[in-house]
Amino acid sequence: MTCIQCPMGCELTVTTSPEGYKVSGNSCPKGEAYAIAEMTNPMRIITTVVSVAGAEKTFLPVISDSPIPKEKLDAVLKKLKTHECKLPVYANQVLIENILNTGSNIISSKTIIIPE
Amino acid sequence: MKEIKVDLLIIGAGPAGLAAAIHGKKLGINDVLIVERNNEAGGILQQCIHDGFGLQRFKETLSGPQYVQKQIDEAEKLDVKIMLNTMVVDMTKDREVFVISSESGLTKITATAVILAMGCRERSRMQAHIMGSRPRGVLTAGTVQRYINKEGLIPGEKAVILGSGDIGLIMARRMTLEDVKVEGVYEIMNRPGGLQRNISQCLDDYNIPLHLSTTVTEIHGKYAVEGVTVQQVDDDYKPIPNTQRYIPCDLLVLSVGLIPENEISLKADVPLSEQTNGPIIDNNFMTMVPGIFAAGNVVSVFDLTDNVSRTGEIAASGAFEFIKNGNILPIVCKIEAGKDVTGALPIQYRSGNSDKPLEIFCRVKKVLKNAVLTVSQGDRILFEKKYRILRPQEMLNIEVKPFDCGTENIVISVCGEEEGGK
Repeated sequence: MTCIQCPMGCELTVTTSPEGYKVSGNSCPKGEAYAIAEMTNPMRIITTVVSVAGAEKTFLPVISDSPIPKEKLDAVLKKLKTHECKLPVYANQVLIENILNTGSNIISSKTIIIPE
Repeated sequence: MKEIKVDLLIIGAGPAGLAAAIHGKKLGINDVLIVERNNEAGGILQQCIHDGFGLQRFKETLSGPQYVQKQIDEAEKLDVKIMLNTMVVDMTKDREVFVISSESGLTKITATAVILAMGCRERSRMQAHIMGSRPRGVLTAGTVQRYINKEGLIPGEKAVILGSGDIGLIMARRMTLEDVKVEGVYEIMNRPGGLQRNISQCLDDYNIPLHLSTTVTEIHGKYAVEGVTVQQVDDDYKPIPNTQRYIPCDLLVLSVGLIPENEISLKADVPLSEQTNGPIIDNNFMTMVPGIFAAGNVVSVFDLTDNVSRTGEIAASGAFEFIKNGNILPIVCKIEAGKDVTGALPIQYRSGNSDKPLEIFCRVKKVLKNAVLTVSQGDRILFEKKYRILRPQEMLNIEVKPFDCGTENIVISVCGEEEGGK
């Protein structure tokens, strides 16, 4: 598998042994953690845009502050489609805490004071 | 006409221009002004809502808006002035810049130093040479990105993507998440154009097929796109007969490369390089016109935002010295792309820099394993580094320690094993 943790994109190989997973091909500890997560519980950062109350033409980019289990991405996106935020909003402000019990918060990607 | 004078004028408030402004202020340049034609600072990153930016610079993975927000906040703290909704209409080689805005009309800005940071533009259908009629529904990946992420509009129901550049791959995932069916990504080359990690997280994660050595040879539909014909190509990119396949779709997304945007540079007679399509620059990122510097994707397409911002800082350092000293030392030699290297920057080396490290940006021409990159001048090796793997998609950024430069060309070359064991 290709590591997605940085632009290097190391080719990772995971072998299973009685002691657990063994990762090779990685250049850093992040790669090892990624490969093991891919085998056990694949996670991804999620990004999308949400509506802004009272501003039809302004959309706020949002991001999860930590990776979310892959199988929950669809449900999280669905929830965000109906979410509306209020202005002003500041970069890194928490919009939804612990979304769908994933342990991740949805935070604002940017500061918007007045509608664009 | 209103007239203003500034020490440093920067054209474009994207990740290069903002980095240049911040660095210039930190070095002690008094008046730093950015002119920006958009209604907000941040450049294209404001619509790049996905994560993966800033790993080198900020040591964390940020979305595009998060990355530039950090720069915008810092610029504000340092009292960098930004004129929004303001477009440059003309510029002379004596650094007189004419700008226009609805608010103030025409203004003449005279600057001691100028940094060009206009970024780049996407190749369009015209440059991809596709046959067929001219219906609506043929859009560049960046336009689709703008529609979805900034305007909240969905431009189609079923899409074909031509080109596997990073923006195309990112948009394959983004469209899928917005319930646009992405039929596949077609790439004329025999290898992907974008980073391997984007193939993995944008295509493989969503079972979107990537067809290499295949291109779109015809667009169908009179008023709106009804479908496209895809066809395999040989090693010379010529379509192979009888390999045509018709795909019904209402959207063709083009991700076929970027071109530095240099219309303003040309107005000021800034000479461009045929290799990079950007200004010919020296080791301080100054163009061949004294006092006019360039940074970011206007120089060459860097791909990584971290590199774009880094060049902004190099240009700002150069501009700072130019403002302080005003004198220009002669060019002593050129910097040359040697074996298996392309797009080497800077292009020339100016004397009087022996106390400073030399930062070089370049790419390899093909995938090379267990490679050694060497920077040399004559018999002298100035820099050497080993890499497990080098790919053409990844711009390299290396730093050569300060050295006494001779008059022979500085050559960057790489030796490595080709894929397939050669």
